[in-house]
Amino acid sequence: MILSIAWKNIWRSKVRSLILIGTIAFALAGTIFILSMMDGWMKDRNIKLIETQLAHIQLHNPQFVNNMSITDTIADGASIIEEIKDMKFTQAVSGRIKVMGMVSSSYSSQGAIIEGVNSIRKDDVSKVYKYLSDSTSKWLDKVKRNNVVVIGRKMAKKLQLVNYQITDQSLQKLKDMGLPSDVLHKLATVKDKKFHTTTNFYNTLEKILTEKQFDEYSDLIADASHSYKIGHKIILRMQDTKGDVVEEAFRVIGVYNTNNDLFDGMYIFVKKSYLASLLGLGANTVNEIAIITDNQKKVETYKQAIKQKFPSLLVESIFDMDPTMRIMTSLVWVYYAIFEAFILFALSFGIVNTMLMAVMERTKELGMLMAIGMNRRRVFSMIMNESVLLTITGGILGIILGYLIVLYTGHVGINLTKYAQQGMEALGYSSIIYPTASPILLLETTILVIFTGVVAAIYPALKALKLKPAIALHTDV
Amino acid sequence: MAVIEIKNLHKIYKSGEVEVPAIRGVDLQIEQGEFTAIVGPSGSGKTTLLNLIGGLDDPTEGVVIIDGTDITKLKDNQLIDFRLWNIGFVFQAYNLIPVLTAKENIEFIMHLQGKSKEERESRTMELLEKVGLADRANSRPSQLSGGQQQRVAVARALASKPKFVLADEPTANLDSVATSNLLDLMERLNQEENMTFIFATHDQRVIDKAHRIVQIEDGHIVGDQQIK
Repeated sequence: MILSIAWKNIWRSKVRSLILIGTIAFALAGTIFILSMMDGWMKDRNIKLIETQLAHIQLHNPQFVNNMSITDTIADGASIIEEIKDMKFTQAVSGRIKVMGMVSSSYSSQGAIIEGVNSIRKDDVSKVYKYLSDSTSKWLDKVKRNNVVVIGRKMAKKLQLVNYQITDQSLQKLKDMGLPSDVLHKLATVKDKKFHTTTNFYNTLEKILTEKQFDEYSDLIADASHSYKIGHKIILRMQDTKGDVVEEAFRVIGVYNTNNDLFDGMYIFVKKSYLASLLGLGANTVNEIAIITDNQKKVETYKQAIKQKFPSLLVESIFDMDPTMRIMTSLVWVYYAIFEAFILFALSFGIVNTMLMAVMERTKELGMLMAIGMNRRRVFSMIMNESVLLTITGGILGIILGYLIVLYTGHVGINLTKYAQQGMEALGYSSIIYPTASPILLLETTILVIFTGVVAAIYPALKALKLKPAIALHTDV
Repeated sequence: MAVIEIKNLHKIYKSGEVEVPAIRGVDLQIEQGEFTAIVGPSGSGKTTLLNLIGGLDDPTEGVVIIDGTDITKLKDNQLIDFRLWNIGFVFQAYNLIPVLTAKENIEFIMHLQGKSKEERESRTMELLEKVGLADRANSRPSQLSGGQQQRVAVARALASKPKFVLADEPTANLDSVATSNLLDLMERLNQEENMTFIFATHDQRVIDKAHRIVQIEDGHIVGDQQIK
């Protein structure tokens, strides 16, 4: 009954309660959205990092990490892989060959890490094939030839393996992204003209656009109007196990895009068996073994198990290879809590104010309740209940609203390309964010909301307890 | 046997440096089943005396013994509990809980006593019948007239089965029809249930109905008449 009275009391001053509930709801929805955005952003980066580069655990020859020399291999790679496959936590394991080399197109050259992977997708922990940039791109398993390569978007640009053509479609895309009509008019003047190199295209853009427009929009325009030169030849140059330089022509069959400039501009993928034969490595030799386990949180334990089995190898977990991942996994809840605590601390002033008003204007009624026999514990709990119910109502609405926003934006993505593509992708973060609502966040929000409701009600409730029934009964508010 | 026994009761209010004596040495006994009015002009100390009898205020000196318990010795929380089980209150401004219906207002006090749902409901309906408001059981106070609200307040005061009911100016906000209805009701309850009623009032209509009139002036009892 006390709970029901508390609930009814909230609605005695509808406007005041609705304002507070609305404030709590919007503040929490905003907080949940922002934190989910951060979370989604980090998770996206982590998933890509695991799928394309690090996996959960990696094994190397201890010498390999010093200079990535092709001679520092794991000679009996195939048998080690078989043994790891039998460990109960292993979900996928595969051997890779990684070698530093040079890539040249007819336009330019640059350094690259050449990675030889299993040509059959399901046999490999690397999932770069998920990030192929368009339908013209193929993964290694779709082509019978051996000398084929998949390169990153950034690499394709650097090697000038991109054609540009402004079409009606690209103009529409740019219009949707919110480019000013002035810029679109200028672009229409070069519509349907083909540009075979990045340099030519950018030079033309520089001519037709103002300096400011060029700085701001050239990359967006390039992205909207490019197509890759699939089928083009590039030359890969590397040192084999004897120290001789090997040079071979490869055909580009696909371009991938993980929205991470560092990776996309450096890593290129070829068939492992073919790379091994070029380098003069044995069929069973690899220089990196990558493992995906059944539980990312337990990788440290799994790492120890593998270490015990293969003491001569260097075993590293993702947390060793990328320390930011450890912070994300173990401390993320602290980060949420601190962020939310600040927001709720600010909100608590509003709650104290509202509850204090509610107590003050009901002085007479509280006096009557104490007179007829409602003890202080019950009066205290009634005020507490009112505050907690008020806060929880706002909290639940906020959590639902926040969750819906997160679901929606998580589905369509938040495109920050227009504002910060270069900056973010250069740091390895995608410029399209898909917020994800983590259960910890929602649980923490609920607990903190209740906690705030309780703490904020203490002062008003104590104020109510100090009332003397004889005086309170004769107080006119 | 006396339900209420007051001996040498004093109450002095402090207003800054100034001491204002409100009750100055009152001795009074009230027997079970009385229908007593404490009368006197404004500021004479009626309400203070009623508050002291009801344990809403502490005396400066003296004792208030209710059914053998000296309530001046009780701690704050014990006093609240004592009131819950022993004293019914009717206030001038009705003071019902505005968010509850008539029925819920009456039930509330039994809820505080921890009575079972069945007991609460049957007692509530019985009381609503007695005060003639069975058909308004589900009305909120704002939907009732002043007289009806005060009748609900009387029912609430009786709900806990108290030893006596204290009513502070119960008719001050009522017109003469409502006043007469209310007084008839209380007199009937007094006779039928042997319920003790003590009023603080200066309303002649109440004084006319009272069976005993205790006159108070400047904190002293200056007259005590048994009428009926």
